[in-house]
Amino acid sequence: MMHARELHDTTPATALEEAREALQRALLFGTDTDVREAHLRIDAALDRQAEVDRVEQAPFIDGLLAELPDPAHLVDESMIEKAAQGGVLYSELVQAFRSDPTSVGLTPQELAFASEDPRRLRALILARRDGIALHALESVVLGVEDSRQKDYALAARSDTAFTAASLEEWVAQYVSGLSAKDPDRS
Amino acid sequence: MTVIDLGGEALDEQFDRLKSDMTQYGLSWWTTDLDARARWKSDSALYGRLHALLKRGRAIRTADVYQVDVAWVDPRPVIHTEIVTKLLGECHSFVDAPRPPAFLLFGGPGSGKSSSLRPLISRPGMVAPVPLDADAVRVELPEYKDGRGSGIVQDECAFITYGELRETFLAGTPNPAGVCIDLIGDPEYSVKDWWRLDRAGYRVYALLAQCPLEQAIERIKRRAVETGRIVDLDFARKVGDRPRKALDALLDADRHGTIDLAGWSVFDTSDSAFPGAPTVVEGDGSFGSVGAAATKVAS
Repeated sequence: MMHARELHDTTPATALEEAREALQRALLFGTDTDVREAHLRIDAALDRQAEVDRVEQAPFIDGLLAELPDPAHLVDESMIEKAAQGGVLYSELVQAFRSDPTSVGLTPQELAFASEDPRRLRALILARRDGIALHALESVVLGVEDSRQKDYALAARSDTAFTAASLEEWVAQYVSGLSAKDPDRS
Repeated sequence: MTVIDLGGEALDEQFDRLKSDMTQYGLSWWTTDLDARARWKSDSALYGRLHALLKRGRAIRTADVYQVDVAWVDPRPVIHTEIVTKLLGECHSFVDAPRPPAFLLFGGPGSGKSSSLRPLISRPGMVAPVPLDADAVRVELPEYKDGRGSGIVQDECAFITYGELRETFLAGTPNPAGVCIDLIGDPEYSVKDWWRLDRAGYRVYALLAQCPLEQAIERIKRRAVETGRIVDLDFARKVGDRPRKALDALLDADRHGTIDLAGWSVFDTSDSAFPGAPTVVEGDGSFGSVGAAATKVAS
């Protein structure tokens, strides 16, 4: 526990060193409570150091803050968005969707659309990536599903299907279907 | 590591500049680090916390980004395992004694605990590889960045070094090659530490590194400039004779038969000591004769 006297007797940097020495001891020989208390001491010391740094580094901190987004405006990047950017595999998205359909960041309309057939997530990824509206996507996908069920199924099962001939053909058909429906996109 | 040839004001100036660089790095690294960005970009609550910390002027530790309650989140557990596996892979068991040695290295910052005393206890064919070395762990963490991030990885480094390795060496079967623990030393705890190590199955040695304070301060500054690892100078001064008192507490308990210390020595690690080995200034002979260069402990 940090005593008031210690707070006044030590500089923030010294208090931090002492708190970290306490953490070392707690981790080596102490109990969970000792570890928690050491972390609290570290937090308190860091807070004291922050009061100094906030003044001494004010221009640097203000410059950083100006470059960062406002926390109120930062929206969580959903799994479907990550998939659209290539940060998540299609198979991972499907797995997460099967565990909890509401966890991947779909709108209610997209959720209803994908719930009909989870393979439609593949098309939703493309739509997110290319900024295609759901209503445009729906009609194309329905058409493709009717006419090219086999290729669609093959493509939808593979993470690397973007390079497979079957998927290229499917995508070409899908894109041409979109272009025909929405001339502004071409 | 950059080896520098600076002294006096030039060293002070570089030390001060380094402190400022480290402060700025601690405030800003998470805004550009790819892994950290990926984490806060997908977690607006985390971003809100980090943003608020920055707004108050607080350094952002790796623990602030990757620790939730007490658990480390991806990819840290994998990194921790890799570091521990690597360090333990460098340990070789040379001695098969029923009670392996545990070496408590006492000394203030800059006293030469690691640089002068660790070599005494790590001779091949004798005892004690030195797995519990925070310096070795620290540099393996990706945010260390040649020392600029030594402050922000400090708590994670402690978790790996003392937390995970405690599970390996201080609980269950003792490490057959022994353990080595660097501590500043505290008379309030040193006898308790002896008991814990004894109960863990080790025979315990105590070693104390001492040198003039001004030399320790000079070493701290030099090490900071060479490796980026900074220790607060006021803290180094405040430590005072606490390491000596920690050893004295052990020696008192040993004299009274409360504990049975396997061996002990006080070493002069000052720059004027024998080149390559500290001088023994007190001890029971385990590490050589008083007044002579230290020798490695007999197994």
